[in-house]
Amino acid sequence: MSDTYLTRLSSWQKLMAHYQEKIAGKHLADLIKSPNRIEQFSIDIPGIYVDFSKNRMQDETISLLTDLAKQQNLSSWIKKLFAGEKINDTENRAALHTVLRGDSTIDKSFAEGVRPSVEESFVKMEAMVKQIRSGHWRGATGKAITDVVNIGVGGSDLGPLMISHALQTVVSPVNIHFISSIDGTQTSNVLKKLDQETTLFIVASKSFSTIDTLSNAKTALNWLQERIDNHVFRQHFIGISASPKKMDEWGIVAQNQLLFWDWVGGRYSMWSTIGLPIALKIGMDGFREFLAGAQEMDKHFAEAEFSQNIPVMLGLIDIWNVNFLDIHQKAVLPYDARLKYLPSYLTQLVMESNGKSVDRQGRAVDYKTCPILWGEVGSNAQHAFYQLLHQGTSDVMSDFIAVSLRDDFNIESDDEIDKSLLEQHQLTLANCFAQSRVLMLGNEAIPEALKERFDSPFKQYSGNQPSNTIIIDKISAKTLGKLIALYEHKTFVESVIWNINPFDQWGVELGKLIANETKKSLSDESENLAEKLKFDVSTEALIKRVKR
Amino acid sequence: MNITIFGCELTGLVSAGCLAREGHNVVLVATKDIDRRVGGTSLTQAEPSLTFLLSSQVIEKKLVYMTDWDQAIEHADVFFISISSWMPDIADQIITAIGKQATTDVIVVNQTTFSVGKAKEFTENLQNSFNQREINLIASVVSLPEFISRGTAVKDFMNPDRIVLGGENQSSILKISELLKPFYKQESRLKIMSSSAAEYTKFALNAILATRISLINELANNAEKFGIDFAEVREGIGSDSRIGFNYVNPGCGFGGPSFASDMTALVKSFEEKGADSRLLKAAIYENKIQKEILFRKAWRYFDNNISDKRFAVWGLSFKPKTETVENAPSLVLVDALISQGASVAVFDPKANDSFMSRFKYADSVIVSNDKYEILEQVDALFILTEWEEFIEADLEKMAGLMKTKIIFDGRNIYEPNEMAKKSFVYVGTGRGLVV
Repeated sequence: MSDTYLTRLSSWQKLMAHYQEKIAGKHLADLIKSPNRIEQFSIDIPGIYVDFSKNRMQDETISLLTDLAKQQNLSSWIKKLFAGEKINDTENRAALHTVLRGDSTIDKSFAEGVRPSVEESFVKMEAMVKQIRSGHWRGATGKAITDVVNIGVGGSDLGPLMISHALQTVVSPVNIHFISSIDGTQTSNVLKKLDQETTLFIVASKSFSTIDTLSNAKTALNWLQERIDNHVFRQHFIGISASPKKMDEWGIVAQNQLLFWDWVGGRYSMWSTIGLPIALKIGMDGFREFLAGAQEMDKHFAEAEFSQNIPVMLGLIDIWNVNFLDIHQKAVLPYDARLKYLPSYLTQLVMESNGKSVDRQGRAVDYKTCPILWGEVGSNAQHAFYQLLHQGTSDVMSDFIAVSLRDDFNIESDDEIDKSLLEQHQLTLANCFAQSRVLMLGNEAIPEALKERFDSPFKQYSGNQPSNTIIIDKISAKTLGKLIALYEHKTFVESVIWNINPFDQWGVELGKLIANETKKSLSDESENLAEKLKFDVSTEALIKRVKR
Repeated sequence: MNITIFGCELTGLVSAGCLAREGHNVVLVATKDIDRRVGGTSLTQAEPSLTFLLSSQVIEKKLVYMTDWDQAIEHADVFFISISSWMPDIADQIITAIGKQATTDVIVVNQTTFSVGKAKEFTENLQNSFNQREINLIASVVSLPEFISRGTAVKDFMNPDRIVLGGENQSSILKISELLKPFYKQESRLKIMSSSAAEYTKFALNAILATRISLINELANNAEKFGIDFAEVREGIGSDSRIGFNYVNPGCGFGGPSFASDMTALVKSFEEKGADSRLLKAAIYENKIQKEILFRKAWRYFDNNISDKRFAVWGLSFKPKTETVENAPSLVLVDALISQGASVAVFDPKANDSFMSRFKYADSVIVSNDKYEILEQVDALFILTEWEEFIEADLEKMAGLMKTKIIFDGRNIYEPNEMAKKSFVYVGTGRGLVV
C-alpha cells in the first residue's frame, strides 16, 4: 500500500509538467490531427470498439499516465482483486464479484473455495427459473405465475432493471416488474395491474433489513392476503439475501431462499442470484451468456498490457481529465433507448464507489476524486442538457455509447416499417458521431459555406470538450456483460490511482440511522418528539408542517 | 365419375370410401408418408365402420390407392383436396400439378378450411396455368367444408345435417350437387353460396361453438362459488327453445386437431384484415385455462403439495371413440401433475399409444390396459373423457382399490349424490362443490 501522497509521486509531477508544457492552451481541433491518432487512441476487442482519440492528450500523455499506474502498483492491485484478497479493508472483505462469472483468471486459491457454493446457488436459481418460465410455478390457488415483481433498491434493483430493459426485445414467458422506491406509489401502481393469484414477488436485499425493500414487501404481502388465504409465503415469495436468518424471520420459506455472500458488494451483485429477474427474462442460458461476456472482459482486464487495456486506458483518461484538466463532470450518453437505465446504474457504480475524500490510510486527500456523473439517452438529451455541453461554462467529459448493428428488426427487408427503422438507426448513429465531433471541434466544425450564418456572438461553439466513443456490436446478454464489467474495472482502476477503497459506502449509513429517529417523531402521536430529541429548527418545522 | 382425392386424413378417407360406395371410381393419394395398407392405420381402426367401408371398396375395385401424382391426375376430372389445414403449401403444390397436367376442364373440390378466400385463389392459379399453357380449358374450385366429427365420421358424411357448397361457376356447382345428392337427400339440406361464404361458414360455426363452450365453462366455474350445481341451471337454460341442450355441459375444455387451430386461423384472418376478434381470443384463452381446472382443484385440495402423490387418469383422447390426443386436456393435466413431482398412471380405451408417444421420456408416467389396475393405492382419480366404459365402471371395485376415494371429474359422468352415498369425495365441474 502506498504511503506517499499521490500528488508527491514523481509520475504525478511529470504529468503536471507535461500538462503545462504540452497540453495547456492546445485545442482538441489541433490535437486530433496528430499522426496515427486512431491507431494510438483506439482499442478493438471482440464485440467492443473504443475510440478515445477525442481527448486532450498526446502519445506522451499515455505513457506518463501508464507510469503513474505503475507507480500506484495497478498490476498488483488487479491481482489482489482477482485473488480475493480483502481489499475492502474498512469492512474486512474481499470484492470477488468476478468469481461469479467463472473461475478466476489469476489466482485460483480463493475462487476454488467459493465456486462450489456459487454453483450450488446457481443450480437452485436455475431450477426456479425453469419452473417459473415453463408455467409450472403455481400460485396458491393453482394458477400459473404470469408476473414476477422484483422488490429491491440500489444494487438489488438498478442492475436487473437496466439489463431487463436493455433486453426488452427478448420475448419472455413471464412479465417482470420492478418496485424500489420507499414511498409506495410505485408499488400501489404496479399492483393495480396485477392479479394476486398469478403474481410472485422477489424480495432482494443483501442484509434483508433494508427498510425501503421491507416496507414495500410488507405492502405486497398485505395485498396478496386480500385474496390468498394459505401458503402465501411458499407460493408467492422468493427471497434473495446474504442473510438466511433474516429471510427466515421475515417468512421466506427455506426452499425459496437464494443466497449470495458478503464478498459480493451490492452494486456488483447482479452477477449473483440477484440477477434472477434477468434470468427470468432471458432464461438461465441467457444469464450465463451475460456472465460469460463479463468474464471475457475480466480476462482482457487481467491480461492485456496497459496501453491495450480498455478499462485501464479509460480509467487513466478520467484521471487525466479530473486531476490535470480540472474537469469534474461526466456525461454518459447511450444512443439507444434500450440503454435508458445505464446512466442511473452507473451513477451508483461510479459515485458510490469513488465518491470519497479519505484515502486508504484514512488521510484526507488533497486532490479531486470522483466526478459527478449523469446521463440520459443521447438523442433525447440533445433536446435537454446538450446546450450546456456546447455553450455552458463547465467543462464536461462524455462517454458516447453506440450500437452498430440492430438485430431487433430485419435490416435487409423491403418492408416499409423495417426500412424506416433502418433509417432511424442511421439517423441515431449520425447524431451520435456529429455531437461528439462538434463538442471536440467547436466552430471548426462549421462548413465554410455556412460560416456566414453563424456570424453572431450567440452562435459560437468553443468545442474542446473531450469524449470517448464506445461502439458495441449489438445489444445482447454477452455484450452487455462485457460493457458493464468494463465500467466496473475502469472504476476500480481510478480507485487504485486515487488510493481509495471503492468497495465500502460509509457515506450512506448516517442518513439511514437518522431516518429511523425522524420516522419515530413523525408517527409519534401524543407529543412533539422532534423538539424533545432536539432536532434543528428547520427539521422541527418541516415535521410540524407534514405531521397529522 | 372419375374422382381423385388428395389426403389420407380422416376427411379424405371417409369421402373416398363413401363416394366409391356410390359407384364412382376413386383414386386416393397420400400426401404424407403413411401406412397405405387398407385399414392399417390407427386412424382408420379408431373410426367406427371406416375400416370395413374402405376394404370393401378396394375389393370392389372402386377405390385405388396411389402415390404417383401424375397418374392420379390423369385419372380424374374432379379432384378433392382433403388434407390437413396446416399444410397449405401441399395444397398449392397440388394446384400447380393439376394446372400443369390437366387436359380437360377441371373441378377442384376443396374440403379443407385453410383461410377465407383460398378457393378463389386456387381458381385464379389454375386458370393462370391454363392461360400460360395457351390451352382453352376452364378451371373452377368449389368449396365443400367438411362437418364430420371423429367417432361419427362415416355417419356424418352419409347423413349430414346440411351440405354447404360454395362456388362461382354454376355448372360446377350443379355437377357437385349431383355427386352429393345420395347423401343430402332433400334439397333443403343443400346450402349453395359463394366460395368465400362457404369457407367463412365453417369458421363461424366453430367460433360459435368454441365461444359457447367457454361461456358455459365460465358460468359453471363461477356457479360453484355460490354453491350452485350447474346441472340444475343447465336444465333451466337448455329447455329454452332459443338455446337448446347442445353444448351446455361444462367440462375441462375442448381439444382436437382442428377445432382449436381453426380458431387461431380465424383470428389471424381477422387481424390480416385489420379487424378485431376480442371475444374469440377470450374464448380461446378461457379454454386454455379450463384444461387445467382439475389440476387447480387438486392443487388446492392437497394443500399446494402433491409431490409425493400418486394419481390415476382415465381418458386421454380429446373426446370418446377416437385415439386422437391433439390439444387434449390430458396432455396439459399430466404435464402439470408430474411437474410438481407427482406420479401418474394413465388409461384410455384407444389413445394409450398416441398419448404415451408424447410422454416417452417422463419416468413418472406409466400406462396400463386395465383401468382398474391403475387405481391401486392412488390418492385420486381424474376423469377427462366421457368414454362409455367409465360411465359404467364398477364403483365398488374402484373404491376398494383406491387409497383415498377422491375423484376429480372433468366430464361430470357421475351423480354427486350417488357418489356421496358411496363415500367418494366427488369433485365435478360446476357441480357445486368448491375445492
